[in-house]
Amino acid sequence: MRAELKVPGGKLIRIDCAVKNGKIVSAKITGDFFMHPEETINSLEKNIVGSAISENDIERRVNESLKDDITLVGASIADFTSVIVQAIKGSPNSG
Amino acid sequence: MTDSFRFIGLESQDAGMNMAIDEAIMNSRRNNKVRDTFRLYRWKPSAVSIGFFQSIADEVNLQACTNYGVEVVRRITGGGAVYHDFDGEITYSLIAGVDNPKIPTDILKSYEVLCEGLVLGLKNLGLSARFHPVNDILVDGKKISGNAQTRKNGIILQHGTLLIDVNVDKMFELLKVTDEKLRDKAIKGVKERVTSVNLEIGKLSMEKVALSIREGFSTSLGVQFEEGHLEDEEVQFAKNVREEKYLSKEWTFQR
Repeated sequence: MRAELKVPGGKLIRIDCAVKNGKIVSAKITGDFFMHPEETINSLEKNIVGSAISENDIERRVNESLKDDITLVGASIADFTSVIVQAIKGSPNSG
Repeated sequence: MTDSFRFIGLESQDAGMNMAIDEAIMNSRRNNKVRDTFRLYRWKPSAVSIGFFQSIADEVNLQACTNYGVEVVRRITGGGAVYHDFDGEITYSLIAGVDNPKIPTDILKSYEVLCEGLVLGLKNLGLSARFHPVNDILVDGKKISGNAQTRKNGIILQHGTLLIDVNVDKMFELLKVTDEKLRDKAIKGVKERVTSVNLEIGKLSMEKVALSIREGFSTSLGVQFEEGHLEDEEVQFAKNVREEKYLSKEWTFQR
């Protein structure tokens, strides 16, 4: 599934993910946002994989990945959660 | 190491080498081999650079790039896809230690402080420009410059563009739009929202524009820019990184 969010006054976030048996099994996040340090994107994607297709689980995993010393420019932590939730809502397994 | 900057004047390189030189300077600055550095460059041949997080398949029409002989490179900085026309643009890069007292620790604030150099440079040319958060510079409400920053191992790299001449139609042949059905609308929108030095004041030599940018940054940072060149070690580092990283499929097609 794919979803994208153009943050008002900010940047674009796009996610491509796949869901199997009620869990996210792959996730790729792209866009023109800034994330410092940049390598954080890899751990974010890795942490999303395995998530149940529930907003709570996704939010928890995104918050965990982007906490502390991570600086986002042009998008917020909530924006990342929101676009992933939007993607899984299109999932045939999302009920 | 903050009293003066090394200045490397306008030169032209291919896309991989341009990105590799920025990285080489970051590396030598980190090892305290060189001073903070300001560099001006052009892209020869013309090239598209995409942001670190962007999907190359979503952003770039690779066939059109091949047809035009336009190179494609992935940057280490985030941000959007940019078409760097050899005759239509000058790029700058600024590499400094995060301990440089002139540059705010806060990333958003530092964009504004560093972009002031370009704002002053445009003022030197008679243009009234202003910083537009997050990372743009506008003239009369239209974008003339985009900027991108990364910080690694205690070193800041900010690079950015100044549009000298803009060909929006060609740009949209090389870059993809989010929704193909809205392509015409997107082109019209960009034509209304983007400007260039040529459009604003007529044709100037690249050298004159480069000099203005140099003076703008030197003034805004309150430091001397002393003519310099890349050290042999930096050139070698850049050649290696160009080959092993920026020309590699693994790097370019990672997203």
